[in-house]
Amino acid sequence: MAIGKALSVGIIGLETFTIHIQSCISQGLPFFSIIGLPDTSLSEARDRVKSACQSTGFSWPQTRVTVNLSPASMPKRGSSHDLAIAVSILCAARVIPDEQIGNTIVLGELNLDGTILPIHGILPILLHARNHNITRVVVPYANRHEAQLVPDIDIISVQHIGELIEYFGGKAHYQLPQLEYVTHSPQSHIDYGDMSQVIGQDYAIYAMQIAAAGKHHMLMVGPPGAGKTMLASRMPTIMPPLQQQAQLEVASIRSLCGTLEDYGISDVAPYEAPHHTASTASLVGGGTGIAQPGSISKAHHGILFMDEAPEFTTRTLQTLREPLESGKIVLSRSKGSVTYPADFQLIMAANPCPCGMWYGTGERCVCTTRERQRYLMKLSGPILDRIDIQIHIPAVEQVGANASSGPSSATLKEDVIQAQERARHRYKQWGWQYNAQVSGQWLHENTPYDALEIANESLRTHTLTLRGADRALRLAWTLADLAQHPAPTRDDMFQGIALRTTLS
Amino acid sequence: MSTTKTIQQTYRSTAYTDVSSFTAAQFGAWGEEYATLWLETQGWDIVDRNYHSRFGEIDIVAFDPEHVLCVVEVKARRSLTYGSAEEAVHERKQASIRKTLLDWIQSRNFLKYHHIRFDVITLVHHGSTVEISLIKEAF
Repeated sequence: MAIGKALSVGIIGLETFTIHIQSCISQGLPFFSIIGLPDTSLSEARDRVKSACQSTGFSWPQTRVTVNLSPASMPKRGSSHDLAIAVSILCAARVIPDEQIGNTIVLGELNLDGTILPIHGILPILLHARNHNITRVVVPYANRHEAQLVPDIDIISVQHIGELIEYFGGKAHYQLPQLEYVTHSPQSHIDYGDMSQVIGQDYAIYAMQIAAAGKHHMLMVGPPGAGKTMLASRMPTIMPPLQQQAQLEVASIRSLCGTLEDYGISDVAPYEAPHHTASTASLVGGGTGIAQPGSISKAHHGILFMDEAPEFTTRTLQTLREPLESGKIVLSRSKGSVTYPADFQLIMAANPCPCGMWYGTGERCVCTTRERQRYLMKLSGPILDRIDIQIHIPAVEQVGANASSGPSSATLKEDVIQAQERARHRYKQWGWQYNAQVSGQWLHENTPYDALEIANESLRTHTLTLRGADRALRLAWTLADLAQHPAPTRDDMFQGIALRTTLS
Repeated sequence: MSTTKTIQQTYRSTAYTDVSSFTAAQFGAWGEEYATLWLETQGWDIVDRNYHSRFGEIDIVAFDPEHVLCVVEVKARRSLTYGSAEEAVHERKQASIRKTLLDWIQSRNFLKYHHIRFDVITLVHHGSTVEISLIKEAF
């Protein structure tokens, strides 16, 4: 009885675990089984592995072949273990020497002719390897760029299983596949534009800067064509660069979605703009078996921009409540539940009414009063409660040389970085990073009396609810940080309340 | 002693049979004959051969040298173009053998044997030589 071994890595959500693959070639009729909770695509690996191995001139054993994937109780899925299964069988058949493949993770999907195809999730797997002191990883040739993002690991990129057999010191007959000529270089600099391109929206840009500095969620209401989408899409250009840990988290999610090749590991905050017909599953994540990340996870550490927010279905909007609060999303499906990070900053844009013309004199608007009321009602309640900044975007009234254009993204970003630095320094002992995270109690205890009195006045006149007052206080602190005040002044507080109450 | 010798001789001469002109059925019958003789030279006790039921057919029932009752399926091949002999004993074939066995046990009153083994004998006729292999506990 011959036993062969190989290592692979399984992913459930973003959590990874090492899979020990053992193959046993034993007496019996020809039979090939894979055990250890494989899903359909993993069970189909039998035919791919057999054919791929035979393509190298290896004569498949005419006896019983059993492959076990341990830990046997964890569900395993996908085609990324094909190559590891093949290696373990070749090892059992003594085509590959046993000692060659110790402490090596083998990744890749096989095609029938032995070609190795790229897989998703290379980055989290490699990070797992690094954390578990595994120094050598075999990856598909097409994944080599992504694999090189993780230092300190010996990467072996292969195109054909025969190449791998020869690398490990075995003999194989094979022909390297014709590579398609792809000029696919990682675009680390995606053009997001610049804030200075936005015309006549100085106040909105200022509000965006506040949002960026304090990680406040934001709602913009304004007529079509005023620049809401333009403003939101330039938000990443004024956000501070992501820290290393955040970069890896963002890249891991992209790797899982198979889009990391387009971005590389980048310090630019991600920007996700789902269409308003997006399903709940595409927004928060979903899918059969094990859920895949949705837009809110792709927007982790970045911006989730919901254009035409009232057009989203109520159900979809409501699903955002929990992740907005907790910064993560737990998705349960038949094969187990996964937790994806979803610490995103929400930016919503809405027209003032269904037809969009309810501004200025409002004479072009064709909506009934009832329609107008119902339109923004969709956003009201729990969602709106969590949005600190709620502003009107006015229609632009002048273009050309005299039109005012805002400051450049670079200068705005500089201020944001400084403001965030001040906040981080202030909250060091509490472990918060942004003003939006600060507890109500801290605000009540540390905000100067002058500023608090203004908030109290608003409470007495019922302009603000208690929760609204806390939100306004957080905004006031962000305004203070941007203006380099040690604590909010009366002006900061007035502005904070104004940003919060423009719409309600 | 003398019978053993005859079996040995018959077994050897059977290997030289020219099978090239045989039909598939004739070749199958030759394979079963050859396998039976081979088993006898190995000290097996043949109990029954070619038992038919409405579920299928059993090629050989025999006691092995350790006196375990075995059901042996014989697969013979003249070329490997259409897959190996082992591969031809698929799930459906295995099931039909199992069902036929139940019939056989009842009709032959072998109910006391509750431990029965399923073996497969594969034969490959290379023209001048015959390659024979026994897979014990095949299914």
